[in-house]
Amino acid sequence: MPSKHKQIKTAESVISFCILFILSGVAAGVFVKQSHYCRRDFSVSLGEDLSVVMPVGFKIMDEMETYDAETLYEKINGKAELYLESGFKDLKCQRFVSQNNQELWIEIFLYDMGSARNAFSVYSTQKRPDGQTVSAFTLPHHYQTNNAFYFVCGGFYVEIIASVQSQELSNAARVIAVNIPTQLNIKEDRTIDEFELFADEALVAGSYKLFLKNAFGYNGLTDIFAAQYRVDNEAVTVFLSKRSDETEASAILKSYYTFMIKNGAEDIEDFDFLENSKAVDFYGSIEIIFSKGSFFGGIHQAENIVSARKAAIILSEKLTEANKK
Amino acid sequence: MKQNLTRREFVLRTVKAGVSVAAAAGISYLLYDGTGPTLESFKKESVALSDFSITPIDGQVISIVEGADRVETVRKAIDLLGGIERFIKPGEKVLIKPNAAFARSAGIGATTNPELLGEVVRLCYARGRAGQVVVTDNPINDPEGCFHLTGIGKAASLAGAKVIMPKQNYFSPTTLKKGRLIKDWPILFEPFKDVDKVIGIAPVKNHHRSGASMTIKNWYGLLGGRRNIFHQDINTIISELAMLVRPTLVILDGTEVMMTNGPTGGSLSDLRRRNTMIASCDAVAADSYGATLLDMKSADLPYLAKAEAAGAGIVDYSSLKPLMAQIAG
Repeated sequence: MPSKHKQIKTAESVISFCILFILSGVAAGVFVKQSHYCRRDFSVSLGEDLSVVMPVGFKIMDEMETYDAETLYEKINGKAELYLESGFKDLKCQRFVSQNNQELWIEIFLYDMGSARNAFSVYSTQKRPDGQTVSAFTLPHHYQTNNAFYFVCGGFYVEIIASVQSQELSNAARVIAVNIPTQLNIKEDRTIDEFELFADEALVAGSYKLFLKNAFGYNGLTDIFAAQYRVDNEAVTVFLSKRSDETEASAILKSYYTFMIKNGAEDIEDFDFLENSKAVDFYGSIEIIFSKGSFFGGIHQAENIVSARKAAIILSEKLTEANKK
Repeated sequence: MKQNLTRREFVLRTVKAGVSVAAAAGISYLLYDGTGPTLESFKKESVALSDFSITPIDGQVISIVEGADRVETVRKAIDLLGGIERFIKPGEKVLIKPNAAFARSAGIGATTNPELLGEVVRLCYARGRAGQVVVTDNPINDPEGCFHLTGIGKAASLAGAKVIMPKQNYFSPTTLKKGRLIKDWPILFEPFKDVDKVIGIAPVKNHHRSGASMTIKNWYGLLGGRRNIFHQDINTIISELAMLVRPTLVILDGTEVMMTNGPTGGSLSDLRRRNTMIASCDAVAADSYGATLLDMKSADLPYLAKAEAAGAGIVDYSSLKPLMAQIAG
């Protein structure tokens, strides 16, 4: 009997040691895991990917990353403010790599900006001057550079960036650009009406910009559409903004005028060809501003008064027509 | 006869079991981290970075070399200042801080060029006869991805440097005397232990927030925590970084400059070839010259004046009599 008792005790001891050994292993594993901090594990949302837009001949290089307003900085750092101030909702990124060459990879940045206006704003204010349109691409706001493709799709701003300049990657970027609206089921959004308010004559194609805030360095100028014109061979920036009513348009006119005067602008004498207008010389640049019904508009940084005046008259006539509608 | 458990034995076994369970639970409690890893959740002694600068020599503070080949221009730029031997003594441990902030390919110009980094590491070993060179950064994006995709990790390793990834326990709090923002803030300190000399290598870039990102902004990559809050006062934080880090040498790569859409860039058309390499013992002077490559004046970068006022360097680089050279081809 004592030997049976001893057997039971031995068995219990063995089981106890096994349990303690397992617990020690768990503790060690927790300690090791907590010592290794991989930021990516705590900032990405896993599960989905953008493989539906991936071109043939490529494979997924990394898992998709998702960033929200809190974490956007961890992807684009100092540029985050530009997006956060423009209605940013989230960013999805993913890289694809060529199956033939590991050095050839491409990264998609899919910014959900919440609306076509917001998306157009971040697109237009970052647009590279050397960008070329692609005739086969149907979405209106797009351009391609040597290694990248940029466009607006519904409420999304999309960047497709290749690791190097290469024909294979350039072709891949175009395929991805075509796939994104269809495969991700993003509906086109053509609700930006302001484009029709700009005269076509002398307009520099593709030069539209939308400043949601702080247009021309003044925080009182919001929702300002601008476009470049060539008038008498001079570059002229024409801008306009639809406000809620005539009172608001007049108020912005007054506040922007006051801002310019306080900052050193000087009135241009005998300038009264437009009702409710002001013209100033701002350190050698001509600024003309006026209100027309619920519209506020003008000319920015013109080099001479003659071309500025011509452009202002054209704009005024367009806005008069718009007010009648 | 059936063996029965006595009351005494039962109590003893129960106590032993209870002690075992309590011990396991206690160890688990000590190791448990309910909040997850954050760079703020540590208690360490405050640290201070040493001053790694060397004795100044009048007329050998800043050099500017024009040329298309980074390897050639950086060699020349350092030689004009007295050669790497002036900065690195045999057996010394050197820390190189590149800009590896983003997981971008080298050609995008958002990060330190890997060829340039590799050459500086080689110079440290071959001519400086350094005992060890380490390369580190705390990137904005995932560190492994950044060091890999930028080519910096590979270039550093091939040249013989040890790449040190940022780990949570490598950060320690620091407070800058007379600083307003850097107070009890985590910095990547562990790689600096036993380091004798520090070299910063940064590209010239436009920056959406600060106007430019060059050698002083490069030290942002030593900050831990939620450092993005400093963007609200970007010029002050950059000037404080100039006071926090006193490097041995900075190298500012203006070969291909990111003129717009910084700091991340993306399109090759954001870059303009300027074919200029700057080596300097004075980071403020280096950045001041770098501003010209961005078609800016030093007055366009308020952090420069703040840094100068704090004694971190000289904005008027011309007063330091820069040494100039041109490399053909």
